Amino acid sequence: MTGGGTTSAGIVVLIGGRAQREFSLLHDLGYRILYLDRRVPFSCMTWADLPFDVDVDDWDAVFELVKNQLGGQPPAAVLTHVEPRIPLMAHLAELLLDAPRGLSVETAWNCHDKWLTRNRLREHGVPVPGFGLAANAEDAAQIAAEIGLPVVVKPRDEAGAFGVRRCLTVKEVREAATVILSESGSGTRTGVLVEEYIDGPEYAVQTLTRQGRTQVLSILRQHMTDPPVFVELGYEHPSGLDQSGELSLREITVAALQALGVTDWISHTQVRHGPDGFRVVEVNARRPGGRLVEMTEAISGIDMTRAASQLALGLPVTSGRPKATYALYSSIVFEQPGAVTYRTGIDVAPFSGVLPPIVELEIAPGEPVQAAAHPEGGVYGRIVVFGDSAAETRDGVRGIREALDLQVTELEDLTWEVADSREYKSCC
Amino acid sequence: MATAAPSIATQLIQLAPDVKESHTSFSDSYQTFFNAVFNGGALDPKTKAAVALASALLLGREETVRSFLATAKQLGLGNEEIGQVAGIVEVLKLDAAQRPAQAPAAAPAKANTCC
Repeated sequence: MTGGGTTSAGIVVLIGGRAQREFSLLHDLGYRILYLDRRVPFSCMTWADLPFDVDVDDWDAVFELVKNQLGGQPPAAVLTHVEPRIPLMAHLAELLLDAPRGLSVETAWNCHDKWLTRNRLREHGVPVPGFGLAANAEDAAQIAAEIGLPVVVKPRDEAGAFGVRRCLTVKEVREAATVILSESGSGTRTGVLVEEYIDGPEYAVQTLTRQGRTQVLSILRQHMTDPPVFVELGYEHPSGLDQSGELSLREITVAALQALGVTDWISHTQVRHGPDGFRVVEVNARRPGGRLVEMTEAISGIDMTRAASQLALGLPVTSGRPKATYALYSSIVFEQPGAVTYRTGIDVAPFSGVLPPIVELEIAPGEPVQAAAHPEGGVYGRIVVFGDSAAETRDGVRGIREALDLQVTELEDLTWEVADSREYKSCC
Repeated sequence: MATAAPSIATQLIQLAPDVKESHTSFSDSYQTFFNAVFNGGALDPKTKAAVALASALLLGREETVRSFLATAKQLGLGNEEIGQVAGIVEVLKLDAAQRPAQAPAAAPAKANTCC
């Protein structure tokens, strides 16, 4: 127990998030949790010490609530692991903490607002796709014509792949922009980003930056569905890049984080390699989704959720030793809609060598599923296998899939349950 | 902070002036009753939260349970205490299911030996 107690000094303000580990880590470090969300889910009620429903878009209301609950005293830390709440986290930390820690408000917005990200990176000479910000569908069409088709149309500050679409024609650009502008997601800044489509492999780079020095924790080759929509199908380590390619990717990522002002935080950065080289597509100032934290920990010895918690608290970041030289991550998606069936209770331990595999399904046998590309579809689970060779991990994933025997039976009238508790959909 | 939107029923009640007036009066009285119950000092805040949570669990209304669960935690009820409250509710529900309520048997009428 390093912190703790019942005074505000022993309380961490945690905003959003649905993973028990985010709570248990803070408890293990000896802190109590004041948890804020628009509607605190049942599961988080028992994990949090002080759960509060609050309109998290009303920053003044959130600040007043926290200030009143802590009697005007500073909390031990303000923390979030979810993309939409990163600017609020930085805002509260700046107002409530005695000394700045983690992300500044400016850096949080630099990372969260995709238009700002691209501007900052371009100003600092970090390669990004050609881009423009459109206020309406006609603007979007004009920017697309200037950049040259195909382009990618995406919301300015949404999390994940919500609304992201590759467009081959100006008509598609208008339609995609209209959808984004008419739908209310979690974003708060208006506008549609139109950017050059980089046709090539994508990489996810996980980092830990301390006192301005960035350590690359993992470089993963990222596999996506074929356009027009982008659903993460899986990841592999090693990335398949040669030494000079990996060095170049590391340098670009470090330069991107410096340009955005990240000095003491973690990141999950996505980079594409097109005909003209690497282009930074996203810089997410948070841990990656799915089970990429576990995959990165197996490779690097650093648990990114723990690292973010420790950085927010101003504690030294602890690490273990790397446990796997190869890892393969395979998202569970479906090509067709229908009712899913699979075997339960299978023993998956024999399918992974150096570490137990991760096998998660977020749907019960018999439940309806949609195709990966459908807006209500996406990812329904994941398999992660660790080993000492690419063949071992490939065989492990294949063996687990065969043992699960996932099948989808077509349904004539596919009716949807309103409750969808999946934490990740477009992401892995 | 924005207040919650009125329910559909409340909005429709506005269409009937007499009903609306009674409803307003009833709502005010209910609020006074609610405040008297929850602000009363006979029980300490944690005990009140535990009783309210138990009642919500017995009613089986998910949103009410969620709301009182949050309040209970804010007032310092720990997970173990909450678990015990839920356990008591479950025991009573099981007991009710196994032993349906019966009116006490009426005492047999005595033979009238007197005049």
